[in-house]
Parts: sequence; C-alpha cells; structure tokens
Amino acid sequence: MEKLYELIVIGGGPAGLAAACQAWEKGLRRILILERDSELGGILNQCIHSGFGLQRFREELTGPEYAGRFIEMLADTGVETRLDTMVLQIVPGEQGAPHQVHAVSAKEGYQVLETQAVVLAMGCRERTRGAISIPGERPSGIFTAGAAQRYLNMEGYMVGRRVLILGSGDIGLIMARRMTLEGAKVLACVELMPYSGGLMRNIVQCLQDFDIPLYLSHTITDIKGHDRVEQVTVSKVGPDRRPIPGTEMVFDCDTVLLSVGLIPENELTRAAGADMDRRTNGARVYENMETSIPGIFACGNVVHVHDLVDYVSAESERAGAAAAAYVQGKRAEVNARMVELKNGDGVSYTVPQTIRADEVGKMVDVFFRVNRVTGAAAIAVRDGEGNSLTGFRRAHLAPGEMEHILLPGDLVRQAAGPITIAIEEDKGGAAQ
Amino acid sequence: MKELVCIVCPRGCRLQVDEENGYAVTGNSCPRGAEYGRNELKNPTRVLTTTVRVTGGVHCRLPVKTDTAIPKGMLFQAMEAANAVCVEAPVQPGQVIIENLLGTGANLIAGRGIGKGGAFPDTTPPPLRGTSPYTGEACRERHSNSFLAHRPQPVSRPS
Ligand SMILES: Cc1cc2nc3c(=O)[nH]c(=O)nc-3n(C[C@H](O)[C@H](O)[C@H](O)COP(=O)(O)OP(=O)(O)OC[C@H]3O[C@@H](n4cnc5c(N)ncnc54)[C@H](O)[C@@H]3O)c2cc1C
Ligand code: SF4
Repeated sequence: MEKLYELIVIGGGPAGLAAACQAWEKGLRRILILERDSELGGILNQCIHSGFGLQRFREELTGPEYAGRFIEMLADTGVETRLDTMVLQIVPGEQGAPHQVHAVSAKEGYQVLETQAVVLAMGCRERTRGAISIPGERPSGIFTAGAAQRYLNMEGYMVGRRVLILGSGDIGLIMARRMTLEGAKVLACVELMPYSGGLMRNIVQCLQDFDIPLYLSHTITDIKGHDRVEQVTVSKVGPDRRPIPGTEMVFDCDTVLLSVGLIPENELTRAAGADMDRRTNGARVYENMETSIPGIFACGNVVHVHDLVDYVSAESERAGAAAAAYVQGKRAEVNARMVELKNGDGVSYTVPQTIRADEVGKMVDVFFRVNRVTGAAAIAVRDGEGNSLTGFRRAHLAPGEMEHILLPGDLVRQAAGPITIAIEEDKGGAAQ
Repeated sequence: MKELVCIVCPRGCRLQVDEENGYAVTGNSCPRGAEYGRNELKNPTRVLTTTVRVTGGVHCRLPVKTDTAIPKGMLFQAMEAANAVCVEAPVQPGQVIIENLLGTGANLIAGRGIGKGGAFPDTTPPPLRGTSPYTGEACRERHSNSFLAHRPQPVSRPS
C-alpha cells in the first residue's frame, strides 16, 4: 500500500482543479488528482468558443484558456496528478477509517490508494440516441454534439456537410455555428419543448447570426438512409409532445447532431453507496457539498449539470475547502439538525438538497432550476408553516438557465421545518 | 426601435435601441450592453474562435481566437485565412498566429500551449489529415477527410 493521502480528487476538469487548489490553499499537503484523460482540463479542452470566465475573471475566455488559468494555479502548488488513470471503484472507510480508491493505468497498473477525504469531480456525459429513442433506420452520421465537437476541434474531422441538430442545448447551438463556419450547411435546429434549453445569447450568436431556423415544439419522426443518413423527417408536436400527423417536413441531410442533455457520470458514486437524487441524477449533497458518506464530497457537473463553468469553479472551491476542514478535524455533528430544501411550484431541483442548520456560515449558496419559462416572477422562500422567509425578484426565468440565490444563515437556523423554494409569477405585475 | 438580446454576458438582457434617437439603448443592466446595442446596429462585430493545423505537437489542432472582435461580415473570410495556416509545435499560449488578420487590426492568437512530440511527432502533415481512415485516399483539402466524402466503410483493420 502506498502513502496515505489527505485528499484524492477524481477528475481533472474545472471542478477537480478548483477543488484541489482550494484544499491546498486551506493547508492540505498530500493531495492527488486522478484523471483518465492524457491532460487536465476536462471537457473545456474541446470547448474552443469564448464565453467562459465572465463572472470569475471579468474576461471572456475560451474553454482552453479558462482551464489554462487553473492548470497554472495548480502548477504553483504541490498537488500531485496522475494522468491516463481511470478510477474504477471507491470503497468508503467505516467509522472515519481511510477511504480506498481503486484505479488503473497502463503505466502503473492496478493501484489501491488510501485517503482521508475524496472529492468526486467526474463531470457528465451526453445523452445518446438510445437514451431518447428516435425512430428510423440506424445509418452512420448520427453523433452527439459533444462527440462532433471533439472530432472537429481536437482531431480535425468534419463529421458532415448538411446537418440537422436535434435539441437546443448549448452544445448543439455552439456546434451549429462551428459547423457553419467550417463550411457545412446547418439546415435547422429542432427542439421538442416549446422553449430552448440553451442560453439566449447562444440562440442569437449561433443561430440568428447565420439564419439557422429554430423549430420549437418539433421533433424527428424518421431517419432514412442505409449506410449514411440521407433524409430526416421532422414533425410538429402537440402540447402532449406527440407528433401531429400532417405536419411533416423532410430535410435532405447527411448528419444529425444530438444535443439532448447531459447525464452526470455517477457509476462510482452509486457503487460507493452514496444517496442519489433522482432529479439531478447526482449525489444528494449538504451545504458544504458533502455527500451522505462522511468525507466524500462532490462538485461540478457530477452533482448537477451546470451551464456556466464559473459556477462550477465556485462550487468546487467550497467542496475543496470543506474537504480540507474535514481532514483537519472539523467534522459535521452526527446528530446535526437537518433542514430539507423542498421544491415548490415551478422548481425542478435544488442543490444542496439538505442544509445542516448548525454548520452554515453567514450565507448558504443555493442553486436550482425552474421547470418552465416565466416572465417577471418572484422566487419565494417559505418555511414549513408557509411563512415567507425571504424572496428574490427575477425579470425572467427559464429552465435553460440555472438560478442561484444566497440564503442568510440565520434564516436557515431559525426556520421551522423544511424550507420550500417556489416560483410565484406576477399576475398583472403586482405580486410582491 | 429595434429589439435585441445582449450577448455580451450570460444574463441576456433584452435591449431596445432607438435608431432615430442617436441609438439610445434601454433595457441594458450595464454600460457594456449599451455599447453592444449601438454597435450591433451600426457595425456588428464578433470574436472569431476556430482551430488551425499544428504539426509536431501532442495535438493536431490548435484552438485560436481573434484578440478583439472583427466585423461580422468578415467571419467567413477570416475562416479561410485561418484554415490556410499550419503552425509548428511548440506553441505558447497567446502566441500570435496571424498578425493584423485581414487588415482588421485584430490578431489571431493561440488559445493554449501545445508541447512538442507525442502523437504527432514529425512535421509531415498528421495522418488524420493526410489520408482518409475510411478509404485510404489522400485528402486534398483540410476537411476532405470528412466522414462524408466517401461512403463510410469499416475502419480498415489489418487483414
Ligand atoms: C460536450 C460538452 C460541452 C460543453 N460546453 C460548454 C460550454 O460551451 N460552455 C460552458 O460554460 N459549459 C459547457 N459545458 C459544461 C461544462 O462541462 C462545465 O461547465 C464544466 O466543464 C464541468 O466541469 P467538471 O469538472 O464538472 O466536468 P468535466 O469538465 O467533464 O471534467 C470531468 C473530468 O473527470 C474525468 N473523469 C471522469 N470519470 C473518471 C474516472 N472514473 N477516473 C478518472 N477520471 C475521470 C474526465 O476525464 C474529465 O476530465 C459542456 C459540457 C459538455 C459535456
Ligand atoms: S446589458 Fe450588461 S448585464 Fe445585460 S446582458 Fe449585456 S453585458 Fe450582460
């Protein structure tokens, strides 16, 4: 057995990098990052477009530039990294005993490492055609948008010439522009829901700039082609999201890109026995990003899908700091008073799911997503008896844009019962 | 009155720009939005991000961007210019790849560093670009090794 680490971070994307840097800052000295790719940076390495870091660095950086800033910061620390190393299993230690991390690499073979704390930062993967079952033949030419992004931006392949995009998530929108600039014809972007899943700014600068039509409330109902995609049929869907006969449009194209959502990559988390949240597909976490297993923390896309990397970094720094505190002996009380965060009307999930009332500092960060598009609305925070604790105003809300609020710690400590977060839309604009 | 969505930051403020009134902007939450609104109607510009070929490095593509925004109408011309260059590793982050791109005053700069060696060690064009992995044909242009240029066939395996 090798030396005992204080902290092992699984995944060297922006989440893992920020968590490791912060834990170093807080005084940990035996930190190791395990990354299965041959370099650090995670998915940012293929996101060559700009728009990262506006909040954090007040600059518009590209993905590789943003990752570069953190990789440089890491280089100033003594954090160890092992690349080309895939983590296979985490065995939680009983009763405060060290956790075991099992990993494998071509260079060092099978490794069993011991550590006091673990930060899970494995990111997410894309939903595929299989995951959403599109009818039609199974020719080549159907890619997830992120796979096409990697082929084009890192390996130098164009995956097609006449492209249809299913789903209006940010990666699909970004790829619509990227493929157009490289000379492909992007025929349309087709979205099942009546609203886009991507950021408004991406609809403007990726679709409208290039006159690419966006068909909301539409979906693919057939794909034709024997070896390669040749024709795709798109139909309008009704409010029940079922295709409406007679509304078919036929596109001659050779490529379909799927941008139909991301799934947090949690095989390790589940196998370790952490409590999961069905709505986020990630582990349930407390206010300090600790999972239900003491000493195992999680941050970034593995907890819930973020649209902005700036939030990933901030969240991961909290996880890194909490992991350091855990190693330094500041552990949460076993019998701490728990305050559940409940999803009220219009809210599809919150992170954290539970707050340990006695652990919170001055402010608690709460992230959530809404489940419908609204105009001006209030985010209402109420206690178990329905009394209003506080509220926040928003000019508009959309499921494609993650919301962030700061709850005062005192409010949480004094709250009676669970706290519910709900959306209250203005009726005639007079609501409080 | 023109309605726009500000794309300067993820907030996506809805702007109204009054062309008849000295391009007065309303709806913006910060001064950058006002500037964007005015420019968008007078002389729309964008930052271009793309890749250029790189040889002799650990990767075969280098992400690049213009260090300032260039006129929107010149994006495709700028793409042509970028696709015509091929740099040699090592590349430093921020290194100027094309100076004063098409006379716009903007430089095309490297978005990351790329070390020497690794998967594409020599300075001959990387194999992915040189021949199609599908047909073995030589590729003439940058992307003619598109998955499409030919009927896709199974990736050739040693027989
Ligand atoms: C295809 C794609 C495109 C995106 N585009 C944008 C965008 O344009 N703008 C934006 O703001 N956000 C974008 N995002 C969201 C972006 O991923 C997040 O903002 C951020 O990168 C998440 O960071 P992360 O560290 O949580 O995950 P990642 O960046 O995904 O990093 C996770 C890392 O963990 C490693 N890993 C996973 N499992 C293991 C294991 N078992 N052992 C060892 N290592 C492991 C992976 O190799 C990876 O390096 C995109 C996401 C995807 C999937
Ligand atoms: S006006 Fe300012 S705050 Fe609003 S989107 Fe533009 S840059 Fe962002």
